[in-house]
Amino acid sequence: MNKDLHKLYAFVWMQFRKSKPALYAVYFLAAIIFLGLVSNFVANRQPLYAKYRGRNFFPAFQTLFHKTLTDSTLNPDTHKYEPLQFDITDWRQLSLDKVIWAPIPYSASQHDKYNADFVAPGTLQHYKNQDGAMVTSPYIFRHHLGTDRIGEDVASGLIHGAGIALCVGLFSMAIAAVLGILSGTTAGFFGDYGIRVLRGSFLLGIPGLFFGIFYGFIVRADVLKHAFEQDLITGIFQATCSIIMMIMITLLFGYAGLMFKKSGYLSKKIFIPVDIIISKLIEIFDAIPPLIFIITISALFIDKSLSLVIVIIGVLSAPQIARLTRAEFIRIRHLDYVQSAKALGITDLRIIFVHILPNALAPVFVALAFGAASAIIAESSLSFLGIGVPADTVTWGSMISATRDNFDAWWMVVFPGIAIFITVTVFNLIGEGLRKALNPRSRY
Amino acid sequence: MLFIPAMIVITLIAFIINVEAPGDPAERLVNASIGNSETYKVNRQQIINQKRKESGLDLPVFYFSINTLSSSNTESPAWYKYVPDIHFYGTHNQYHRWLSAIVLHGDFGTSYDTRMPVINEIITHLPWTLILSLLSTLLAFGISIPIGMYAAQKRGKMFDRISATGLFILFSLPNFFVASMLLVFFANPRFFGWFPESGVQDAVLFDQTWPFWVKLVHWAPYLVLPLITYTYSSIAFLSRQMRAGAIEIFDQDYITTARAKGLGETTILWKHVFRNSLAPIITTFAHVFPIAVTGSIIIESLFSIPGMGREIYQAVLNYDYPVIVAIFTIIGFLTLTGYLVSDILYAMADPRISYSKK
Repeated sequence: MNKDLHKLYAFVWMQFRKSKPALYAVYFLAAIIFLGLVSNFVANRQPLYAKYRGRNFFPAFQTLFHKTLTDSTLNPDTHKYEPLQFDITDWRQLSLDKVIWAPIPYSASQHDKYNADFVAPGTLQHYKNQDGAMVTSPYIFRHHLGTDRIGEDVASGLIHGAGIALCVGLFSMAIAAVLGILSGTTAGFFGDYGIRVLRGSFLLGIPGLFFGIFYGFIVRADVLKHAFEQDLITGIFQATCSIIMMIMITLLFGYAGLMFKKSGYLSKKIFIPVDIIISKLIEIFDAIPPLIFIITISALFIDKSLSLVIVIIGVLSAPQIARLTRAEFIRIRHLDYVQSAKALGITDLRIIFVHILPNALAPVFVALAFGAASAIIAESSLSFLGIGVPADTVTWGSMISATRDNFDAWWMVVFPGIAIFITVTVFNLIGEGLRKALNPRSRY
Repeated sequence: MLFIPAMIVITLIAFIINVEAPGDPAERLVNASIGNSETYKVNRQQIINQKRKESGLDLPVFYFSINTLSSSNTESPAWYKYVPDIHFYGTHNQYHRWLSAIVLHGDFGTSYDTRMPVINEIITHLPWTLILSLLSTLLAFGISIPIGMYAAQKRGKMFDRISATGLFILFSLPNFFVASMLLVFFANPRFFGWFPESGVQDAVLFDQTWPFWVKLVHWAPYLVLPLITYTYSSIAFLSRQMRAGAIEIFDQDYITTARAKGLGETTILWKHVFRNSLAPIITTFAHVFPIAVTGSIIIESLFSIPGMGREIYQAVLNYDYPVIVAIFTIIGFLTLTGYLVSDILYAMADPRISYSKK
């Protein structure tokens, strides 16, 4: 990063800090991210530390990577080793010598059968103690924010939902940023008159594109289908391979067209209007209402998955990012320093990534912050409807949908709703603060 | 004019969904019409084949197809896999048939679930969505214009700051959360049972022969909560737009002139600022209308309003693809129409804008 740019970002940060809400929003976001990272230790049915029959265990930590970890302990009465599988053991029923429970001693999808069927916060809750007797819940085992129909703890769901919401916001925006910046850069930098090719190359490129699609997608159709059935990451990887293959084959044909260099009509140079093509595509995809599109697409997949939702939201947010990037590139492209960089003979790629892109990213960041907020809203709306995410995943949206069975369960609306509201507001505030910081003259 | 290409893209997406949908459409259609009864067990396959022929499912999918040579004959040398095989089918294909049925006859096929033509279902459900979206759009404009204008006039003052904070909060609230809150607190006898909790009319009391205004009075309490949820996010969005636009006008020289010649603030606000800041707000109609239509999925399914949103939700849950595809196409069409209308309105409001080529 060059020095002036460093100054620019320092200036933006200085301006950003002036707006107190935005600054607090950043702290809040950091707190939520931290909460999402440590959610497993904040809300877990297994104790953080337990001393049992003379041995020390750290169940919450030990099961982090190995879910079905099994150990064995010596029973002092029978002198026999008894297996102890961490995740299915009910630690509350063991007579532990020492124990440190997680602040919320319930996992997100753990059914507390003694407190099922919508137990309100602050009401009488039941607990089965080590003698097997039903007693009033001790303070640390209380569901402070209530439970749902099957006895899942609301507070625990909130903590674990934070990670999911952040994943949706951040990863979908990462996808949108990559796609949007790539296409916006191409459209904005090259414009309609930026890419000059021989007519022969262009004409050969059309069959090239055909063969590219053929070998990239039709020949590999089985591979792609198989990869997407396996899991989404493999699918995306194979799809990217296909796209690269398509581009390579098209380029190969284009280069082959160079042989027409000295043949009259075919040797004339023509322009490829990438700008028109990409900006029209952006406009078309902008016109499709996103939520309906996601719902319709998700109807295609019987197996629901969170990553699919993330990818769809990311792809649908890309046109907006592309539009902003394109606009910035068009503005910056004509500035003197870019012209002089061109005159110095610096390659296009270097100009794009070193000289223009860092200056063009400002409005993109604003859009990404707002986009993360709407991605979280979109995902929680889908979870609320029960479309798109698997039923056993506890998200904020799916928690709220519990009230559709029981209008009296106000705690199932209020707490997750506030969680969504805070997260969305945090992203919106950051977006607003960035916008003000990047455009300090504006008085809005 | 992007209307036509965008519409083609939407129909293509819809058609891809139609084709790629899991399950055999002919089989589901037959299941829907005759069920799994024993009497048809013998010639079941025959009926399915006949249905397939009837509904054109045996035709090629698109105008042309690109495939590998090896796909048409199973016993072929390995290199056949790398040779393209192109076929052109002309207009005798599924897409053409599907699209022309929609364009010419408004025929979207038959619902798997209710066994009725999809278009009939949509016609019975569309009015509620349209009424609610239009009402909420009008309401949103009616409320947000004064808020935005006064906030711009009192820039930096108490009203501006309070309304800005309030609108920001409204903007960040997801509509299903607001809807659930309203239901829990205002349609629940345990707290405030002021409004009926679902539906649009009382199943027992409602009488088709009532005069229109009696029906209206009957419907009104059912529509209050849905309308609030429909409207509030548009209000937040529109007011902020309105305020930003009005502030820009307030900084113009002619406003200073108007003040200098002694016009009252109210006159300046409504006669000079309002009229000039109206043009940009018209374009936002294009954004508000789709928000309303999309919002219908959540709001209608939550409040049990028999509209399109609830219909598509039910269809997704039942994997009723003809209905999903039809509603997707129609909502796409409505959204694009919204954009088109706002483009035209914008051109009318601001004579400097022209869409014809110079």
